[in-house]
Order: sequence, then C-alpha cells, then structure tokens
Amino acid sequence: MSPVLEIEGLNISYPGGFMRPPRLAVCGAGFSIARGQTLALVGGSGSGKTTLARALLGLVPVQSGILRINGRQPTSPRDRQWNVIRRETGMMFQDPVASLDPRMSVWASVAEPLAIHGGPGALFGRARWAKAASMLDMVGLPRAILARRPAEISGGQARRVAIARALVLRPKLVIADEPTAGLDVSVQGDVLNLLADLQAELGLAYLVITHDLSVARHMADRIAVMQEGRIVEQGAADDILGAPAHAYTRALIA
Amino acid sequence: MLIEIEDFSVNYGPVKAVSGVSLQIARGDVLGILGESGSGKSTLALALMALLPKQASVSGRLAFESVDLASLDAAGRRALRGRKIAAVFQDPFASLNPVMRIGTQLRAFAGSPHEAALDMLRRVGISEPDRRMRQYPFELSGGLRQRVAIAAALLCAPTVLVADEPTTALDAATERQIISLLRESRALVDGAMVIVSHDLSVLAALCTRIAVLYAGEMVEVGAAADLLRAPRHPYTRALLACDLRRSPKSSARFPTIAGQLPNPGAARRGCVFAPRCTARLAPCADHAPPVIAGPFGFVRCHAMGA
Repeated sequence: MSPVLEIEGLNISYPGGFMRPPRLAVCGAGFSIARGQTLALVGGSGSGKTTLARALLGLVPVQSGILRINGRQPTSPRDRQWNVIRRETGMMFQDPVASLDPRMSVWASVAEPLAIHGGPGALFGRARWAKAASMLDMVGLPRAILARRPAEISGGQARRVAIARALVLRPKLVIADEPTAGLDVSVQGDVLNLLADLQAELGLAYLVITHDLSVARHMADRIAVMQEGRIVEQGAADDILGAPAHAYTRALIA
Repeated sequence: MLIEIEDFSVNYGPVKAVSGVSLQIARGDVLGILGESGSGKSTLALALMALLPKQASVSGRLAFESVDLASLDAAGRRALRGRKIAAVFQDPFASLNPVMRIGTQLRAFAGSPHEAALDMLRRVGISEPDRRMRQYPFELSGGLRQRVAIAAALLCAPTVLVADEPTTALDAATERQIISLLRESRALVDGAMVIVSHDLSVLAALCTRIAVLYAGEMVEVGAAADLLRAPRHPYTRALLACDLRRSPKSSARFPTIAGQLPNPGAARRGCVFAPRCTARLAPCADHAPPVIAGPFGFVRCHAMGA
C-alpha cells in the first residue's frame, strides 16, 4: 500500500529582498508516513519544522523536490489538487485559542470546513449542525459548549475543538503542530489518549511536530530530527531515542 | 527568616485565587512553586513581588524581612521592587522596553554604571556585550532576551529573585541554557530565589524546596529531592505520574487526573482535591484536611494522618 504522505528532496526557501539573499528554510527533506502511522518531526525553534508542515498544505511554496499526499502530486502553488489535499488533511495549529476565530462560536468553527470544502458530500443547515455536534461527542466535549466562543472555553477544551475541526472532513492525514504545548500536565494525557483513540478508530496518519522529545517518545512510530532545515537523522522511535547517531539528537536527549 | 507567609489569602471578589497559604523562605533557599493553571501560583508570585493589583483583597500576613507588605503604601512597595525584590517574567519581550536600547534600560533599571551592566551581560553568558548594549529587544532572540532580563534582575543585587515561568516561552535547547544560567545565578543572589512553574523538570533542576499549589491551596511542601522521589499528597503523586518525561512508554493509556478544578468562586468545604482524589476517605468531603508537619516539610491530607 502506498504511503499517505511521501516527500523526497524537498527544498523550501523564503524569498530574499533588497541586499538580502533568499533563505533556505528546508533543505532536501524526505520521509513518508503510512496509514495508521505516526511520524514525529523533532527540532528546536527555527529548525524549519513548521515551515515544512505548512508546505504540505501548499501554504508555503515548494521550490523543488517531490511531495505526494494520497497519491496526489501538485506541481505548482496554484495547482487545483491542493484543494483536495487540504480537504483530506487535517491541521491542528500550535495555539488552538489563537487559531480559532474569536468571533465564531464553537459550532461555527467546527462546521466551517464543511462549508468551505462542500464538494459532493456537502451538508447543509440542520445536517451540518448535527455533524458538528457529533464531532464534539467524538472528541469528548459536552454539546452545551457549541454556542460558546473561544474565549469562553478552557485551553484543554479549545484543543479538543481544534481536533474536532481538523477531523470533521474525515481526513486521512492529520498534521499536529505541538499538540500538547501550553496544556497542563494533567490534561496532556487526555489529549494524547484522544489522539491515539482517533487514530486507531479512523486509521489516521499523524505528522506530529514537536520540540518535546517526551511527546515524540509517547506518540511516534518513527522520528525525524531536524536541524537548520535539514533532517539529520530519522528512524524507528525506539532506535533514535535508544541509540541516537547524530550529535544534535544526542544533545536534544541529554 | 527572609519571608514569612502566614494564612495568606488573595481574593478577587468571590474568586479565591490563593487560600490560607503558610510558608517560610529562608536565606539561601531556592523555592519552587509548582502548580497547574488556576492553582494561584502567579497570584502568589505577584504577591511576593509586591505587585498585586488594587482590586485584590488580601488577608493574612506576607512579611518581607519582618515587614508586612500589606502595611506598606505604594511608595514603600516601590522602594522594595528593583532593590530588594527583582523579577524575571515568562515573556522577556513584554518585560523589556521595546523602544529603549538594552544598555539604556539596564542602566535605568538598576541605576548601575555602564561598566557594571557590561560586566553583568558578560556574566550571564552574552557574547559581544558591547554590541548587545546598543541593540533593541526586537533584535535579540528569545533566549538572549531572557538572559538580558536575568542580567537586569541580578544588577539590582536583590535579596529575593522571583522568576515566574522563566523558561515557558523558550524551546528545549534554550530552556536548558537558561536553567543552567539560573542555577549559576544562585551564587549571585545573597538571599533567596523563588521559581514559579508548571514544569516539574524545571523545578527539579533548580530548587532546594518545592511547594505544591492546587486550586489556591498549598497541599504539600518538602525538600525537592524527597518530594520528587516520594510525593506524599495524592495530588502531587497524580501530577508526577502524568509527567510524560518521567513516565515510561507503554501501550497502555496515558495517566491523567480525572475531573476538573473546583469553581474558584464556589464555597469551599472539606478537602479541595477530594472530588478528584483516588485516596479519598470518609472525612475528606466535609472536614478540612489537617496539616501534618515533619522534618520533611508539611502535607495537608486526611489520608496521611490516618
């Protein structure tokens, strides 16, 4: 079976300006994720991991290299295949409270992807409401919060709303940027348990971006370590953590 | 005793932010205050910095060198801050003045001459201190800014240095550098340090003693090594079990603490942690837990007294 996500020799650069050369943010990155698998992309701030994740959704143009998601291989930033890729890929941003529109109710936030990506399976009116409500059931939130706004729910609840929104279109791949950042220690386990349950139930492939090796250790089948835009080491999670080959990985673990 | 806190409470209207906290901080202590969101740790930190807002109603006693902070007027509190008490905050970008060069604000903060500021930047491990003195905060990385904030705090030669979540905004590698810098700073503070954090590993690396706050109440205080090795209070035990860095990987479920924090405006009865506690006994629901003190520190729990 072909992997859900496959990249090879991916280069991403930010344009330069007057007297400023373009900066290579990601250089020759390559990995793949199969259905039901989790890959953790680990690195410090500025290592390019978030840029890479954004490029997978076409939010940042790719300069060169191969990028294939569910067998689709868009060739330009304006390629129509991006629409399909975005529909089939759920994104959980780093700060769920900031990533939700403060003026939109929980229900509107969860249902918005249904409106944007309508397509053949579009839902309207009551059916859309019911779908949003059932998503809340799935992530373990009370339906009573459907009418609330992001400022009126807790950080842990906002995280669950972001998960519900990411999953409402039944994606095959979910990109989670720092899924436990900013959460209380006693709530982190709840979110990780939920993500694990949803993965088992829906066969999701996860790309988890984190600087926290303990999150990678608990979630990932495979780990790729990024430093200054390059993947310096990757392999099975136990191998990487048990016997890190690269000096940077050893420094992260120490 | 440098700081004495006795039955200290802070309320915002009906909301109980800190309830009945008693604690002593001696010269040479590095005290960690551990708590999750809603535990009141930031309110307690503000109280220690004499920075509580006007609308906070305070009861009990919080004395700094035997002077009750509540008895001081605004001028008296101002005289303490930046001289006796220095602070390092979570977000150094917010605590540094964005339109002042680093050198200008270091001189203004501590009233110290250029040479002293330069020397301090060097001591906190900043390369090219001459250049940094002329730069603005936005030109520095997060880690560098936090180093500058620590340098500013140390320049005051404070008796107490309070750091509120000093590494939360930083990535893992920078976090470790700032922790080791804070550890070295202990030698430069002729008094005590208080580190407030939700992160066990930060406190474990820095502190001699740890106080655990839950819903505004101090449930356990003990020597850092003992508390981390053999926590006594059920909440501390549950919290340690939840820490991903400490728990072994297994295919089983991640540990969590079931239930929710009590509503901070609700009336209190019995033990504040009882509804979520797995070691709950009959008296927990109705009777406030006894304070069980010993050479280790103290713990407030019915199950410990039984």
